[in-house]
Amino acid sequence: MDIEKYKDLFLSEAREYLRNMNSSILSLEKEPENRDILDSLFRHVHSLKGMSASMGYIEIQELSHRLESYMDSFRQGKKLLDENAIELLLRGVDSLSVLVEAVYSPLRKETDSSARTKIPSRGETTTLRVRASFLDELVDSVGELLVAQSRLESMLRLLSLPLHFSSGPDHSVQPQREEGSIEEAIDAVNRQIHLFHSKILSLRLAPLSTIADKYPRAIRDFVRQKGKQVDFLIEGGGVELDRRILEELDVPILHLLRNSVDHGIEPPEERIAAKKDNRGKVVLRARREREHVIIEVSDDGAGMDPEGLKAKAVSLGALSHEKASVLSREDALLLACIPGVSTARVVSESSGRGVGMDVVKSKIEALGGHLTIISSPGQGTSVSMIIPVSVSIVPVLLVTIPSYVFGLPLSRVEIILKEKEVESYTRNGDRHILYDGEMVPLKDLSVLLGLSADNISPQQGFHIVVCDVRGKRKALRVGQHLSHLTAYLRPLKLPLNKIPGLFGTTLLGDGRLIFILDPQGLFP
Amino acid sequence: MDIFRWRGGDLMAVKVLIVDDALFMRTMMKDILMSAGIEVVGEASNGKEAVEKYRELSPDLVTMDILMPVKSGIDAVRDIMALDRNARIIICSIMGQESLVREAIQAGAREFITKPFSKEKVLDVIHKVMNS
Repeated sequence: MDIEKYKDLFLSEAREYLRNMNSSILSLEKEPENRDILDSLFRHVHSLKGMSASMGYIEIQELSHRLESYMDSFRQGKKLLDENAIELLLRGVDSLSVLVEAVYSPLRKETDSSARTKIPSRGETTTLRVRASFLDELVDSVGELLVAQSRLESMLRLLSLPLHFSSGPDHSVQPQREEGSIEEAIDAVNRQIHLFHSKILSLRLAPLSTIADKYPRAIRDFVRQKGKQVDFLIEGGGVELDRRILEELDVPILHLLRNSVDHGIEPPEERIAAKKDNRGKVVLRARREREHVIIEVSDDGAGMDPEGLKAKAVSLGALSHEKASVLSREDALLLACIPGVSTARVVSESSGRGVGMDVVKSKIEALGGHLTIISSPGQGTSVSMIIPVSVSIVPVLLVTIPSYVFGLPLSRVEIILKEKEVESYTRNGDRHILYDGEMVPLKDLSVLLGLSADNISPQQGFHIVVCDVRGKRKALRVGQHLSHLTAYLRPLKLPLNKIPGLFGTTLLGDGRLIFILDPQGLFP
Repeated sequence: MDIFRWRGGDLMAVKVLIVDDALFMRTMMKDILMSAGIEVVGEASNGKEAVEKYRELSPDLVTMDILMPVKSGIDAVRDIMALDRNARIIICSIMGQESLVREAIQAGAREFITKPFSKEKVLDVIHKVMNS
């Protein structure tokens, strides 16, 4: 029998069992006498033993066997599962993990199980494992199909063939001509491609739990190391995200969780003095809101002090006195994401909050998301990451400044206004428009991009695009707005991905390559 | 391809239900059986599913793991034997499970095989059980 071909399957299932073992032991720590949990822990170890025996991994088999025997005394009620026993079981699982991971080293292949998606199907026991890179290839090729389809549309337009997609009001009065069948054919292809695309994207979705399952164990160890007492909860582990995004989120989430434990939650004696429960609470919560997922890390710890953050930012020269005085509470909390400010002694006597918050913020923004912080001193802190479910296809608005076309993600656009119908003011040297009873800061897109825009003829006129930037309105002055289209986003590579404000590129129907801009990066 | 004779027929006509909570073990068993031309009609990942699938698919043979969630292999053997007194069930065990194997045999299982499986061992036992 060719054992090699079972290696991938072994590794991904073994990791699943190891995760289950960890969470069973953590549950046993809370309920040492729960026989069901003990039995299921035993079963996980036993399954791993059977699998490793079949693969000929004698060390894993032997250690699993010893863990089983060790557990037998508890299952027979001869011994009590005390703190030492829990610790020993956890160390045992750690050692098993090391042995399992060693199966692939030193030649660790790219297709490990963290890069795999297990796709649940209707039958309970029938699962299909698909190579993750294969799914990526499918997504790419369907993206190319979308581009080709949009080229076809624009070529037809050049031939002056009327195109009536879906059911336009005058569709019925069009005489049935030969071209009509082309329209219908393209319409049908269009619909199919979009259907195909959304199905393929959904294949790439994986629940948050695929990365979050290992957090309880990691947080437990960290909590002990820091001498704190913390209950950690995960809510919404079933919320699904694109696997590529999930992989990117692992580090930021873990970082925020550690921050909560280290800098948020006070030591037990401090909490008691503050008339709080001696055990702190840290919660990782996920929920879906339309095309976004909101992942929140909250704690009931010491909270953050916006005034302290402001003072620190001013003393570092990152912020002027004037700006600091008008900064909202929420924006002041985000100052914690500026390197140096984050390590300030602003929270408690002991330490500052959020080393590396700048890394978290830039990672989330690179994914097209943003960060919000809510905090009150003494009450706790909640950091939310608002992230798109999937990034590769974006509806964009095409705008021009002479001889250039750019795309703006439609999800960031609130409204398009004609400049001549908008009241504008200059305040503190910055231009603003009055929109919806609000003074919205206005920037010229051509100036932001360092391009000249003086040859727009008055007839064409300028337009103002009001965008949503981290929950705030910002206005962009552009030439014309053309149309919107569904763009297949091609990610930028070095060095272009280092330029703030550039989100990606896409091909227009006529074959022109354009940049998709990121309003968040344009308004830092 | 090895073809095993069975009551004038061959093992290629045997329909098997594989029961194991580990996908890895089911896959390995399936590959062994299919390489011998044996038809795998279904898979179950716990004892409860095994009983349901047995009722639904009426396989000629069941390979049954012992320790599984929801319902153990031994309880599943009892339930299947109550459904069909002539059911042919092979227990898949591992060293250290001798007393459980004995219990399963008492419940009606015909034979047992011990992990790690080799193709020869698995087909031998199936041959023996199908000819009994």
